[in-house]
Amino acid sequence: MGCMTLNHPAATDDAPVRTASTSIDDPVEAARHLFRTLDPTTLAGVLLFCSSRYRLDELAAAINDCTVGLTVIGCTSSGEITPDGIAEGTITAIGFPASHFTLNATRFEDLDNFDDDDAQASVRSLVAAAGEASRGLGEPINRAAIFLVDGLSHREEMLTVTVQDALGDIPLIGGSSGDGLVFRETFIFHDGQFRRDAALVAIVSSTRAMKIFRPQHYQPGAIKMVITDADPVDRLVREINAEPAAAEYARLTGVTVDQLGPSVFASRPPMVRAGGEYYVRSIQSANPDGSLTFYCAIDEGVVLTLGEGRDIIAGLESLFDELDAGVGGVDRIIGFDCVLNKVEVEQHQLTRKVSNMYIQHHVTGFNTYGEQFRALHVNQTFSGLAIGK
Amino acid sequence: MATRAPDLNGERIAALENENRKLRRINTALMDRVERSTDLQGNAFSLFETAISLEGKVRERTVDLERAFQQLGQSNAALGIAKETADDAQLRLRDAIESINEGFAIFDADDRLVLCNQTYLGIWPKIADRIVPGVSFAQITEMIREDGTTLGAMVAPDRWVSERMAQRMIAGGGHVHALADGRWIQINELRTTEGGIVGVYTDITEVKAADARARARELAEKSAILQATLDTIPQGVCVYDAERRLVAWNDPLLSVIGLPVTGIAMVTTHAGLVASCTRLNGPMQADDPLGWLEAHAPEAVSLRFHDSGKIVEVRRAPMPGGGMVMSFDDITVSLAAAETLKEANETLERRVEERTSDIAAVNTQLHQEITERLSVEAALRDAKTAAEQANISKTRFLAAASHDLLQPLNAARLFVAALSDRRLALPTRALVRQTGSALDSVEDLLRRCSKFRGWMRGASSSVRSISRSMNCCKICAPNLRRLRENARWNCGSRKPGNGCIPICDCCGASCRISSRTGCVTH
Repeated sequence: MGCMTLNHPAATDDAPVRTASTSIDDPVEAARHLFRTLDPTTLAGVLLFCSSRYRLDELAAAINDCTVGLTVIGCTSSGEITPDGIAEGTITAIGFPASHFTLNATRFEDLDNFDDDDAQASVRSLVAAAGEASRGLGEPINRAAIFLVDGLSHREEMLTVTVQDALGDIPLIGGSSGDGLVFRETFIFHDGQFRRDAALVAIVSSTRAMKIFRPQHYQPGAIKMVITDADPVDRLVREINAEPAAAEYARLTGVTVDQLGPSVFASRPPMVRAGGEYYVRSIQSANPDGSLTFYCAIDEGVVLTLGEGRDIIAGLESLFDELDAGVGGVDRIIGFDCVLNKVEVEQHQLTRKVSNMYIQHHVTGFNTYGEQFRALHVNQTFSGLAIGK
Repeated sequence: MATRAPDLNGERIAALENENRKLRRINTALMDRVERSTDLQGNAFSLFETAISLEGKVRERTVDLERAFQQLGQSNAALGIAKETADDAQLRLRDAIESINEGFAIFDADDRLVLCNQTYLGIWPKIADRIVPGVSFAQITEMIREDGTTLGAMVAPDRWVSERMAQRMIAGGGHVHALADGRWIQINELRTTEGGIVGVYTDITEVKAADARARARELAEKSAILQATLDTIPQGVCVYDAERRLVAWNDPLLSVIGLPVTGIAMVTTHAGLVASCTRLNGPMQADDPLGWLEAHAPEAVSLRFHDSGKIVEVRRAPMPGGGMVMSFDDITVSLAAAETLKEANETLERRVEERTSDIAAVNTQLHQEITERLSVEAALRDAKTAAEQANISKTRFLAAASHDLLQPLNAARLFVAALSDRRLALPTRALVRQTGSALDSVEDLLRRCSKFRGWMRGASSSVRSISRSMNCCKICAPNLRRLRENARWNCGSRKPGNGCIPICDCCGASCRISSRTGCVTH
């Protein structure tokens, strides 16, 4: 579990980060309902998570109608953490009041031809713009960078390293967009449009305390395996221990190949050790050819350790306590919760309990296809940003 | 069994071989991985690993660099905003100067054009396309000179350029330039704080035209007033211009110089005037009273004697720009009047002289009479002095005599009074009373003698006041009247104004009587 404290809390005052959620089917009605609650005229920016069930073009137009001149960023999701807890098929939004926040965003497109020099230059100008924009908020200013990326782009590692490098001291936190475990199309929303093959970074500035976090509910077990054949570009593992990957993984976890699916992947995630710590490398899918597709970078010769679940509730409780203390009272937690965590929680029939904890601790967010924490792209974590009162 | 053993062995061998193959594969993969781990490659997993293992170290090293980059970015952002602000200001300035009606041009400290509006360019349509920011004022002036856009540049190009540059150096206001196309431009220039010059070019053609109209109207009015004034003057007045042509005259002119009423055609030139005057009024005198005066010659006054006997005073004055003003005054009548006056004066003087001599004779006679009268007066005065002297002596005598008589008389009365207070037989008392009466009569006589002495009146009023306030002893009281009489006499004759001190015989106390204050102490 990695947590990071930014500056210490500023004076408590009463302009809370606003949230709203809607599950109205009609995009126009949904957007109107959402922004009626948020009062866009007094906001510095909006971060929204949208179920991929919506007709995104219509929704984008409706959002634009409601938020002329406002910075709105977001992405498609595989489930949302709404003000009323864990849900699916909603549009959930977070509004940053202009009295205490500024939000400056930029995006990168055509990620396969990503030019890291250009990207760094644009991130640096974004940092500068955020500095200029937040000049009126007071001192000291705390910042965090929210990162959203097309969850099927397979470019997260490259992006996080590049972007975090250019952000300097500003910590990056974010998630990969989802499409409800369909793995067909995932989008980010920026500049009035839902976009594929794109990523965005948005700097939140405020005098409020901010703290990013990245706990995972897993610990390494005893079983280890070696990837013997893989395609790192497509995150495809063909062989593990010189056996077809899906069959070997199924054998080691004690299930049959046809039982392989999110629930198995969620409860027994492979982990890699790096820098003295174990990180989950989640499996996205078992393919008909017997290979496994991962949510994150893998390579031949990588040693995987099968992970085991920990006490989710206890882990969350200690996390929330720590965050509360860290920011001097939580106003809002923006959560990027791995979609496999949701699966794992469901399997343990803890959904209601976890959902209540999220409500109680003011968590709003979405279920990701991967989380970004500083320069890392990780899986099966509950990462996020805690904002103090 | 023998066959099964080799089978078992074969299976085992096969399993082991498979295991061996897998292990070799794993081995190869791991070795490959280990070898590649130090390669510099951009593989996503190695990026992930790098991110983890090197993050701390790299971050430490690059944090300063990043901070520098950030500061740079910050400066750029600030610069961007500043530029935006400057651009906005520039735009606003441009809009502002475009919105004004005047031509407007700003030049920097090197006198190069920074900004100008369309109106400014419109003043120089021929060279407008060459007036761009960066062009110096001298270059623009040169272009104007070449094109002759202003009248000055057309007529005397070099002089216009040097004058314009001189105006520019001063950067003052209000030079007016006539453009070749008939427009008039007023140029106001002002130094900016940075040492440049702001020029405002106002099209004053309309104003100029209005001015000209106003001036013409004023001139016409003045001309009318002048003519009216001229016509009211009894003298004849005419004005010739430098070409000696008649430009103005008044109604009395012709009659004064002896020309018929229709004769104005004869005097339309100065030569015509001289000719017709000579023809109609006789030859000109030697001093040429109607002659032409060149400019700056002194004003001339001369007399022109007509054959008819008419005398005209001619005043001539040259005009500053050439030309001459002449005025003619018929002074025949006034000269005759002056002559008559002179004769009357002479007669008067003669009569005054005659009278003066008469008066002198009478005067001498009077002097003689006065002398005689003075001697008579002196004789009279001597006579009067002698009479007065005699009068004073008589008065002194009378006063002394009266006083000397009164003293014993008073004493006698005092005694008579004392006697009457005594017991007396009736016949005796009658005698005493008669004695008193006799004394009264004497006193009365004396008083009448002294009546002319005016001072007595003032003294008696002082003494009368004593009788009211005087406190006397019982002894003296009955004789108060006597006492009073004595006091009156003493005070009156000897010491007027001072108190006198008679002694009261009965009590021996002194009794002071002040004739002035009326106070008596006892």
